Amino acid sequence: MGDIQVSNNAMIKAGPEAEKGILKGVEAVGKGLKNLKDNLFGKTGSTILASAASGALIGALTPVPGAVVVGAVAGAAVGTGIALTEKAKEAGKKGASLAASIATGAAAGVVFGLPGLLVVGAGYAFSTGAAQNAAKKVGEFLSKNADKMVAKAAPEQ
Amino acid sequence: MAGYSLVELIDAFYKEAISEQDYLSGLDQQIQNAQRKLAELDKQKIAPADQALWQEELLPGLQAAYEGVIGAASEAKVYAQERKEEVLHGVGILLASVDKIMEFLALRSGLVSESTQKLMAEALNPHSDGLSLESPVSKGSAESSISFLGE
Repeated sequence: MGDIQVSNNAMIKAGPEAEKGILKGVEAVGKGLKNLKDNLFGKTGSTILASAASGALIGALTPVPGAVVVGAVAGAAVGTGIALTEKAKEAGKKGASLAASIATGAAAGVVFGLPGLLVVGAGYAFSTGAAQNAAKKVGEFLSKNADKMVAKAAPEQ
Repeated sequence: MAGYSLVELIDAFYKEAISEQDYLSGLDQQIQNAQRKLAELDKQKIAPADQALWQEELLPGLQAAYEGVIGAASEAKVYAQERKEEVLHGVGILLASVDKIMEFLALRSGLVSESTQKLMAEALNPHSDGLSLESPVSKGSAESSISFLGE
């Protein structure tokens, strides 16, 4: 299994106007980001994610019940309101290859490089057409928008 | 298995807390719900001022997120047959991507009008049964707060 690297405490980095707009948007959406987690993953699912994230052992097939289920998901759940890291710029360049690799189901060792993300070292090939199509679609979207998802790994002090 | 989120559903089955039949049925519901939302996206009326962002980011993002959920749930069905944890890991990869997209969309939703924000909130809420057709272009009242935000 590969290591999992999680960028925690990330903050949004964008141009002043864009950042102002985004922050205003976050305020407008209110508790949205946190509740998005709850709604996507459910209360229990969120707890599982939080638990796995706090252990910083994400993506690994651990004996912790539930952890295996969420695996990489937990990495994305770390740090609410996270956006992306400076590394996302570089990741954006890798986006195309990422999209291509996961589209073919070859997700092994993929470095997503996007906010709060992770390294997944699970050589896994999606077996269903729906999953292969999904991998292609999400990969393309993440790749296309990687530059907009720019943040930094740690807040400026 | 109404009321279970996708992750909860998979987790419950992983822990053998629910039957295979309930698991598969629940996954089918997740797939159908996402497919319904996906199909409704094109029917939405978006305020002119929001069109650019909608076409460029919000719509493609929602489509990718729904496709991701459908793909993850479909792949999760394989686990019922093979019981290989690597299958769940693959599901996790997809869900992580969906999570990222949804987070991005939530942030970008702050840049559009109230009516489109409401639509986005509903679209991003996996517990809603579907999108409200013909989302009002005109401004809604302050009471049109997003249901899942009021928890």
